[in-house]
Amino acid sequence: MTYTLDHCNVVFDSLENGTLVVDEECTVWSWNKWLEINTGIASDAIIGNNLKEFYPELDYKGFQRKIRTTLRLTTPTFYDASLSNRFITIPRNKVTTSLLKIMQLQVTISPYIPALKRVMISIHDISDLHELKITLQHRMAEIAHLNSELKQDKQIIDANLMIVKTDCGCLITDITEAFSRFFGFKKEELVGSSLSNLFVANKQESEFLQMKDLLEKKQKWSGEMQINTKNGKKVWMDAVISPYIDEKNEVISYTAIYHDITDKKRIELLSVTDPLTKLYNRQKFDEVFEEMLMRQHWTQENTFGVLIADVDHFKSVNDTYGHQIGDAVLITIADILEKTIRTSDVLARWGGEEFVVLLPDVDMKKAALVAEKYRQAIEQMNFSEVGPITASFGVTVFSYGDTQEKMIYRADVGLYRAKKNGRNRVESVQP
Amino acid sequence: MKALKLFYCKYSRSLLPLICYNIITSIREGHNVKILVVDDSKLARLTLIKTLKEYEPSAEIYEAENGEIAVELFKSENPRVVFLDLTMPVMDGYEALKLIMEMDPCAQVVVVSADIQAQAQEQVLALGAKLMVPKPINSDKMLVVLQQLVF
Amino acid sequence: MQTDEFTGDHLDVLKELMNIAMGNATASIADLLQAFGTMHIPHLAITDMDGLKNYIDDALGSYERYYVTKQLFGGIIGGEFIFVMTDESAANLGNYLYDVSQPNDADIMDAVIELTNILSSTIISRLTEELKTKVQFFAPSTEIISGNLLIGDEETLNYHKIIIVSTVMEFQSHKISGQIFILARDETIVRLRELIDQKLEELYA
Repeated sequence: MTYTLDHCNVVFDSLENGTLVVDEECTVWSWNKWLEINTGIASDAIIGNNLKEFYPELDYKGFQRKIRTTLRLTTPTFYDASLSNRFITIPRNKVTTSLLKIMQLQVTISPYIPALKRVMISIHDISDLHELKITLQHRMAEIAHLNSELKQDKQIIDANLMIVKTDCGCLITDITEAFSRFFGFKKEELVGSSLSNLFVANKQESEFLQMKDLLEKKQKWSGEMQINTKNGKKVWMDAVISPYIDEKNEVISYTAIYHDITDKKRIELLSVTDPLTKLYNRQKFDEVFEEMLMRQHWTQENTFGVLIADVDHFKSVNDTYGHQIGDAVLITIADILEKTIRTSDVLARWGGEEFVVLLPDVDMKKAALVAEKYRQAIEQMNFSEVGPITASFGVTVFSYGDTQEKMIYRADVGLYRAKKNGRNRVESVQP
Repeated sequence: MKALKLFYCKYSRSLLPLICYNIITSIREGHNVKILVVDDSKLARLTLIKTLKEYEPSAEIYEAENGEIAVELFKSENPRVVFLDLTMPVMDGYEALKLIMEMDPCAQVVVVSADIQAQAQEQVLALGAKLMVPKPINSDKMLVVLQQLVF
Repeated sequence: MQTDEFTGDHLDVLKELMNIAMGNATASIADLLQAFGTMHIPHLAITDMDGLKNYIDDALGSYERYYVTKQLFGGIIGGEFIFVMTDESAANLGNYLYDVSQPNDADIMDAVIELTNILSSTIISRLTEELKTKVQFFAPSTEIISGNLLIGDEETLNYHKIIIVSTVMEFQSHKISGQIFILARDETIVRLRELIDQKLEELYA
């Protein structure tokens, strides 16, 4: 027996954890080297004595109950390792962290010599593990807090910002509640369809291509665009489309954020429009004229022209049929001209019964031909109440050193000449 | 005699009471004793019947898987002995025991239960059970039980 | 032949063994609490991870705060022993074992661990004894869990066949009760079946 116990002591001393043997009354029968070193209590001093003398603060009622349970069930019992230290206090020497100043222990009570009511108690230092657990708990709490904030933000965004998310192939994956509400589309109606389906078909090609180009270069695009709502209403949107790029520099998804600028667009349009004919007003025409003059590439063969058209005998229309009919005639002429002009031409109402058109990429001859086309268009139109209406045209082209005044003056000269030569005709004036 | 020798090998510790028991049973040979075995577990019933048949090979066995069926069978068959489990669905052993004892205050009910608390034993004995045996039943326990019953 | 296929007989055997094991455990706890425990019928199920979640949700109901102790056991058959108590029950237990009217969290935790320890060792060692095998227990850990967070979400990604053996421990006079779940999966189910087959062979021999 003695030999066996000595042998056990050798084994206990070699263990890298605390091992002690006590009986039901807490008398210590073995105290290994690990305990000697970590508690500062020599085995000679404690063996044969009661643990209570060395550690009076322990909860012996619970401890002894556990010893009895171990002996009765002849199975190991465990101490709670996750909360406060319930066993002997061992200081911890870790310097780099100060979370735990006392060793966190995992304590197992195992049957040792049941006949003598002795149990073996193994003590494992699980401080590092415990420290990690505490740190993790803190982090989890932080994450939970951040998540709830994020969730709130997300709700605000969802309710108030119009956002569309797409995959890398521009197929819609998600829309916000605000987008859904504004456009009248349900999420499931849009998910899976292409983002470009949302754009109005007649959107200016060049801008669309520019957007495509930027996005293909994995860059952000921003600009104005027209979009159809579900019930076909056209709305103006200020849009920012940005790619989301992963660490391999590959596009994962796109996010398009929209802002409704329909009202702004309407005001903008009002300020440049003639209220009666809905053509550009004189102010806008002046602006475009200046831009046209600024362009540097005009040559004699490829320059721009300006024409002034004046409705013949318009005063008598007003006098005979009244101003309302007169206005109707002006509106009809505006419509005819708008239908006849080339896409690049800029048409405006100059004032009264006078219209002006800027004709880019023409020479003198071609400008006169365009004017002739307009003249014929008006002449062929039947104005139901008033009967046929004609207009006279003065036309000129830009030449180096010209100003707006000079060009308008020349066109006016042409117009005067056309009136004088019998009306319903085009007169060109060379620069 | 051959059968007796076989028992001798298998249950040498309880040889003497076994011989006594076989003598008792041999006296009343000729009529089959009715025994009701009540347990929701098929395994428990099988184990019990197997050990029972070692001593009472000719017994007429009735099986019930809950207290309600047990009470019905008790009413119709009036068995000499009832082996009764406690935890069962529909009607538990306590309730069945109560009803059986009301029907026949002389009924011989042996409670065979996993519940080994002293208080459970007191309770079933107070209700009129003749004996309480902890599960699982084995030959030794069965012999002790049979010796205390009247056939 | 699918060796992990459980028949009604296998389930019946396991249920009865659990019943016997629970009888021992109840008696041990009755000793500790000086009270009488009510025995309940054990339940069994073989399911997957989602099924386990539903099973536990159904068993626990909608109580808010639980003390959940998990203890692993290993050997020929290995698995997880889970004991779940409402905080109310746990407080009553801490109150009784530590003999203080307002037990602190550490007292309660320790009391719950102590109870689980007795439950798991008596139940599992009795079960394994009946199946003629042995197991080793690992240190249990207790957590306070709110709502239905007993099973980690990341675990549901794995598909496992799981066997659940569950029952209720109840000591009405002390208002202490708890739910016991013994979980094992895959390999252990196969081995469990083999051990039960041996048991059945003995019975029919």
